[in-house]
Amino acid sequence: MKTQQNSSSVQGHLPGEVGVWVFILGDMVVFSLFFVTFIYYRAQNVELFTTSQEMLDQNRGALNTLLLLASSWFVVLGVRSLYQRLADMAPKLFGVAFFCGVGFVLVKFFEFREKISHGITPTTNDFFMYYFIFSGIHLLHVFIGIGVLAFMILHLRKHGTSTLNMVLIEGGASYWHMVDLLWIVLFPLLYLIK
Amino acid sequence: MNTRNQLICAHSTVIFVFFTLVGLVFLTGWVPPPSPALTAEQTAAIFTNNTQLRIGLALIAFVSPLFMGLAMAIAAQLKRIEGSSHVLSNLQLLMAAVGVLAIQFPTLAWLGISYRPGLSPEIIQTFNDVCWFIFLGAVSPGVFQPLAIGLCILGSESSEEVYPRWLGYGNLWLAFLLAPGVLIPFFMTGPFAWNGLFSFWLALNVFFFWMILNYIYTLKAIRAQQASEQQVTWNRVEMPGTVEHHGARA
Repeated sequence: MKTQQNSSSVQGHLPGEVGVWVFILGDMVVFSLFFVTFIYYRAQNVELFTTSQEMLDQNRGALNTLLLLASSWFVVLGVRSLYQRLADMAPKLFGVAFFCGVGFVLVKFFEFREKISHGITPTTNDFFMYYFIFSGIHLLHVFIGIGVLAFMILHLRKHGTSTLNMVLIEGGASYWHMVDLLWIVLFPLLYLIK
Repeated sequence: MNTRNQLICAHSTVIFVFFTLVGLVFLTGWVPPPSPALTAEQTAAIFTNNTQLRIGLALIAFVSPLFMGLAMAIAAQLKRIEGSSHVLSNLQLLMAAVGVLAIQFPTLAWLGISYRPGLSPEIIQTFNDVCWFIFLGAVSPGVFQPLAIGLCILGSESSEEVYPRWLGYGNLWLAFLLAPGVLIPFFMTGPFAWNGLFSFWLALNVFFFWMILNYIYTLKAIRAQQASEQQVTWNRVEMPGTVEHHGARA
């Protein structure tokens, strides 16, 4: 019955439950701290950071950005289809989002593997330390997000539309958007900033 | 009666936080900690003839088991959520016990390297490294305890709200904040070294913030339980009268 409560309050509607936002906003505060730290240490040694940055594969970074943006878009379509009573579409759309997430992990895996095979590790220099740690922590969020998407699909399959918990679906969707948003800041910071 | 013992456990948090901070801030003076980048001789000098440091370490070691008080009170409240198969509340309790060891072992080992004069600086340096790796780097019990608490609160299916749901998410978030401690053994400088922004400053603040937050909401939960139990006893006293009124139903 939570579905009704949610759709009725269109004005000032908070997706998911308040608690999810404690986590999401909290997480974004920590990542902001990461970003500020990166910018601070970059300013101390701009040359090292720019020369190291040139060794990153911008195409892979851009591909991953596209994958996450597409994935977020499919999550939006999925949630919308539930409100438009097109519930059959939702698991499929979330499924596409899920595979975009898996694609992100694969691209990241090959990117890391290539770096390590060229002898570039977190101990190479400060830039690569931040590169590995921040994208590693972000990757951990992607893993959790993929799990959340899988959970959302299973929940839909199990409950259909009758006893569907929209608060759960919206909370999961919001989390996935956060994962996307963090990458959208992390990508230019690591790969593009001049 | 049950709730009074819970309150004793919960309030031991105050003693733990107060004396740990006194030990850390005033006696050892390790806020911030000595840098990992010091030479062996510089590190050894910290532990030579430093009675104040030794008293501080002994104090921290002594009060550290009081950390279990909060964990025990939380466990008692989580059991109200979980019912008879209270695995997550036990899991967080055991994580807390392991966490206490991660305070006791390094503090006693620090006392060990400041016990005899004339130890070689390299030995002192190595022991000091290991102590910091455990004191701030062995974060996994500190990650898994809030994780267990958070999952337990979020998984609640009872109608009665023991803890607010956002506190469940809050615990998950704080668990994540402590996690960068695993990077401590890999860095001597920068934000992930044991005196760095994430490994020390953030971890220290998060840890005490987490304790105080859970302390406040555990106290609220205990008071709510107390109130509901008093109501039950009150109803029992009233029983003889009500039985007559509703005699037909009985």
